[in-house]
Amino acid sequence: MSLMLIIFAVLALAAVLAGSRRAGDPVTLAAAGTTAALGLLVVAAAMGRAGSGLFLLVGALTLGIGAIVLGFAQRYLRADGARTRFAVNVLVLLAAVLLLTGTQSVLSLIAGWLVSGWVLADLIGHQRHWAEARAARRRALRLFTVGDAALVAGLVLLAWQAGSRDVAVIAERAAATPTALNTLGAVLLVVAAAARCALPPFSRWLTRSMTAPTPVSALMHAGFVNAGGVLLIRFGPVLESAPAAQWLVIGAGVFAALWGTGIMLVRPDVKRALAGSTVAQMGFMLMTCGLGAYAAALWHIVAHGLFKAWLFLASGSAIGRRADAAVAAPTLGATAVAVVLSAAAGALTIAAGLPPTGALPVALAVAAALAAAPALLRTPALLAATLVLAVTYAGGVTLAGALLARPYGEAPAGLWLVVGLWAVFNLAWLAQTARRRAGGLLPSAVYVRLLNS
Amino acid sequence: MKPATLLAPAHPAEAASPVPATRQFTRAELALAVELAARTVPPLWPLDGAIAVNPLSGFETEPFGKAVRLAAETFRARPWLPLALWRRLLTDGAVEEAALRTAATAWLGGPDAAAANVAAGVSRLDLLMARLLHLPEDPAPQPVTDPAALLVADACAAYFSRPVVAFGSAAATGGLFALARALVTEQMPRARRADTATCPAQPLDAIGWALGREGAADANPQTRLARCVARLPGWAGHIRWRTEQADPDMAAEAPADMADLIAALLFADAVLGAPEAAPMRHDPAATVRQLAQHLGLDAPLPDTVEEIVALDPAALSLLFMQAAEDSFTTPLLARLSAAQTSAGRSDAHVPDAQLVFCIDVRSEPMRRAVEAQGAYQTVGYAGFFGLMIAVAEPGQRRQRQLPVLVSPQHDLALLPARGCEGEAERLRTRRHRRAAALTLFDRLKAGSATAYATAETVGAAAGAWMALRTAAPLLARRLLRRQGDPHALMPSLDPHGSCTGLTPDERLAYARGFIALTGIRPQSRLVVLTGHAGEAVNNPYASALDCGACAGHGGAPNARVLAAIFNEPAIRAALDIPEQCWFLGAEHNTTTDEIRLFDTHLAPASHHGDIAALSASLVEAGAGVRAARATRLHRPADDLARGAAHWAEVRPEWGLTGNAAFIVAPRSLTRSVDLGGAAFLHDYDWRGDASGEALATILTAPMVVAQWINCQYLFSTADNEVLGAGDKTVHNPVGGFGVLRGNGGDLAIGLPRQSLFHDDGTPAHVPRRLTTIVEAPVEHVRAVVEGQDVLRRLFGNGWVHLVILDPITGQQHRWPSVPLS
Repeated sequence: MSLMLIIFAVLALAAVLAGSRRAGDPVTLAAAGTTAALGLLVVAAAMGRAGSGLFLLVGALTLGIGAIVLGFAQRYLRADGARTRFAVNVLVLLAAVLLLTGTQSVLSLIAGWLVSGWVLADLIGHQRHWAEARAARRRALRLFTVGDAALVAGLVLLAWQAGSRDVAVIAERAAATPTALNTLGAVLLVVAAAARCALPPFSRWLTRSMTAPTPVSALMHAGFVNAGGVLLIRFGPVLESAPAAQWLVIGAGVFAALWGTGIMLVRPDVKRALAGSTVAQMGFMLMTCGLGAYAAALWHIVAHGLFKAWLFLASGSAIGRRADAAVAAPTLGATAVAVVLSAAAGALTIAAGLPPTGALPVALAVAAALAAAPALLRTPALLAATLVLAVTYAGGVTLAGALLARPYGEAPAGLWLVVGLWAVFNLAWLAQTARRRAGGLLPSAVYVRLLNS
Repeated sequence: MKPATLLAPAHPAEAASPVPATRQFTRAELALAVELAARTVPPLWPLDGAIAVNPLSGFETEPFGKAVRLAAETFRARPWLPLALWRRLLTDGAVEEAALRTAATAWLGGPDAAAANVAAGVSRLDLLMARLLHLPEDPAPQPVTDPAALLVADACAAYFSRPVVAFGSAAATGGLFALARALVTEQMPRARRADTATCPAQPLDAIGWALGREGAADANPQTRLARCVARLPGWAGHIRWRTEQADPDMAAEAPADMADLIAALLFADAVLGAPEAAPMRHDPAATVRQLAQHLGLDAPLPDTVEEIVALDPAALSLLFMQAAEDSFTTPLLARLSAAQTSAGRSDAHVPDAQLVFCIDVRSEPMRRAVEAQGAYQTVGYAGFFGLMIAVAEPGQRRQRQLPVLVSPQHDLALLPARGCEGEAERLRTRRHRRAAALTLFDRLKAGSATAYATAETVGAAAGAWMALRTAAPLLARRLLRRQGDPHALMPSLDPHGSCTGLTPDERLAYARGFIALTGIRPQSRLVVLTGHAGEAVNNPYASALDCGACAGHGGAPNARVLAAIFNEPAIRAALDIPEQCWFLGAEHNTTTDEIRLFDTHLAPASHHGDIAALSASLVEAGAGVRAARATRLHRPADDLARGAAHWAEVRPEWGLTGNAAFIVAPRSLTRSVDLGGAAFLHDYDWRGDASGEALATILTAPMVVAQWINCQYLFSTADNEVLGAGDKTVHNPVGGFGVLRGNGGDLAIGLPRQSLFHDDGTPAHVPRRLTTIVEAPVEHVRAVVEGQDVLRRLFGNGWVHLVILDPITGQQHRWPSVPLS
């Protein structure tokens, strides 16, 4: 794919200039190179020559976040003696993620996956003189190794079964001929995705990664963890031909979504609470992949990446902020009403002809909207802003759907699965609201486990 | 338990009544031991009202040299700058080699003793200089892994953040110790939990239980408890702040005291084992070998060099510090002496405007620049202008606007300023809307069913906003400023709701006191009271740049209140203020060097021309100061405004970096001297202070605050990892009041690296103890100093230098203090 090669050339040039230490400030050079690459991608997309829709969207996200993070780091890391190493590492990470997203060759995909993991571990341990950072780096490498081994084993198995090294061919043939070995391969891919997305039991590398400077955390949560989702979207047909793998990823995803929310609700420090939130969001995203709703998962990857990066970079503003006591916590009754109406919305969308997996996000979105309704109706400006945002959401999912070759696949079960999942999330929400109103206390054993996750 | 006081620290090893070393301790004994141990660390103010404190305040009763070594052992720190950095400062010219030789010669016992030869052509001075300049230094103490402290720190973070975190543990209702115990117990395998089940629930009893188990026969538990407190200076400092300084309703949200913390650490030690730390000892034999090698000597060195060889790293570093202090003060004193003899005392002309600035070191360059613009008189006075007030918006938590050593006497309500009612209304509604939006957003983002839709909806907008803030920070700030101008609100002098306001008598008293203490004679058409504040965005340490005298907030409220008082007809009549004087409140933005004048629309029409002329002068002055500061920051001058608005800027300004002197004298002494932003300037005229009361007030209040600031900068630079906050880029905000470093652990104390060091690792703040320079007759000063405990202690123990410039005899006197090493 020539576009990818051109982008690599630009990033490589920036890396060489940055590393030479004589061409100017390395972070500025890296930022310039990344912005140039992003510009090239946008131009190519406008000309219709951007290759696969997945590469376009995820590539734009990765390069966009990379440019913002490098621009932020120009000032933020001004006192860092290892600026050059940082800049070069970020460029290599961006290139590796682009490679695994856009390449057609399984070997290149594995290379991109492995390199991005090693480079990210190095960024987590960026402050080499600090023992805690070195320990965090080692932990990340240990947990990545499990996922990497699963990926290599899975892809080798699938490639051997399909007799080809091309990603698209493997996906097709696996869907055509489901066998036990294909199922094994799919399960291994799920394990690899779970490790990369920091689902439990692999979440420790993410929740203990605060030794990385803030821009690295932003890049990590926005551009790196979603590689697991990208993998499952690319190998969607393989997953669908192996319902066991789908059930596994749905189960792991739901558990991660609830567990991660729990971490976020108990952690007192901002960055680790955000890490808990990422675990939950990644769990939800992988669950969505397991349901075959690839377009929704893809938009989730993009939107969540931008969202989380912003929260990390703005974390310095957390000082002095106290919960506004005047705004009352939602009552259980209001939440219950929102839940019931969201069920109605979901039923309506299904009646209107949308597949059940598409109805689930709509139902949850309606729940959120109804939870927000009282506050929004009081403030017209806020309501207007929310409507605009809702339109971008709908537009985003539509765009993702338009760009993907296969926006929706087959879920392992029908309507009842979706209803069950909807019930899980909403019951959790009701329980959370009830407990919060009753004082927000958790039993010691659960609390400590969440606190230390 | 009585709250320990800041100004009367007790060194832990010298307990008032030593606790007997028996196995059974009574609660009263333990309570006393805990209270004394608590004084090992100073209180740690929350970062939204950051106050500079001396991290070694628990050791201030000791001479400086001894205190530094005791602190090194207690905190396992290195409270002296490493030789490698001193050598860099020497190369850069911040320390003069001649001054170093002088200090070394003095330590050796004088020129004769220094010149004594120890080998052919090698004098004792040569040996000492070799150790100072060339030999490798002893390695720094290795940080000790302390898993018990990490667990207890996690418990503290969870417990004190409880008001802002959604869910907590049921165990926390029993207090901090109960929560820490639950955390530690849950980590233990079930089989082992019975071991510690006998530990009592009450913290003091638990301390007794743990000490009994450890059973050290001769140990005074005082040391053990002090070492516990020193393992978590951040959380211990936070607890001290909560119990001694915080508003009672805030403290009641998460009640805890030092006994909880110590009990938690002892309990965790009982489970995990106490950390073992090998003491750092200097090896003389290695030094002898290195010296011989460096100087090319074959024969063994004589015994007379033993004392040179035995000098520990602290001693060498302190010699450098002495040299640094001399390099700074000797030329300064020479310039001041010259200015003293040539200064014209009285100015016959009436100045165009009189401006009162805070004593902060950043005011000095601005004052110089303003005076150069025309006939302006500037005066230095504490930035809270003597007003003992706290301000509060109706229905909100109150905010102190006075030094933390004293309590507010009056509460003033923040109400719309006259003429700004529209802006204030806009501010109020937009703030309310913003708060509601943020709370809603927080709740949606945390809901089990709503979090995913929230991320998917807000994501695209977040991306656009991030790009804007990074690439166009000034535009982003303009958009944020549409939320309303906070200065549309002003403290009201009249009572409002639960705020008492100021009665006419109180207003008169403050006005009178201000005139008496500054010695100012209002005569110009404009008298401007200038508070100051820093400007930073997305920066946990933003309030460290604000006015310390105003409890870590901006000084605008105080300036405007006092100006309003002076403009009242009744006050003017009572104090005989000339008709033509009009008072204005103002605020000096120390990040962009802009001075904003408030309430100019309330001035009489006759003064509008004067205000315009003054504003123009202030803009010119600001541009000059900005250019000079930008050079020190290694950035172009027009980048300072961008940096103040940029969300990624870690160093918007240098703050009080470089502070080294506190000058108590009339402005005529310092007007012609460029102090380079390194001096606190407090106006004082000894001739109007026969009783010495004003001098006593100045030395025991503003000077003590300056000493805290100086010590904080000094020790944060010397050991940035243990006594400072470390690298800002890995800071992790917790609870809205502090930051952790990385994944967890102790709350950060002191200042971060970026505020103290240049980008290349050279210290921007040269560690120098404060030198107080007073212009007054020697006997006058001596009487004041000997009448105050705190001054005898600070000057006598060498924490602050005192130099008296006697205007009558023209001589300089140094206050004697104990030798350093």
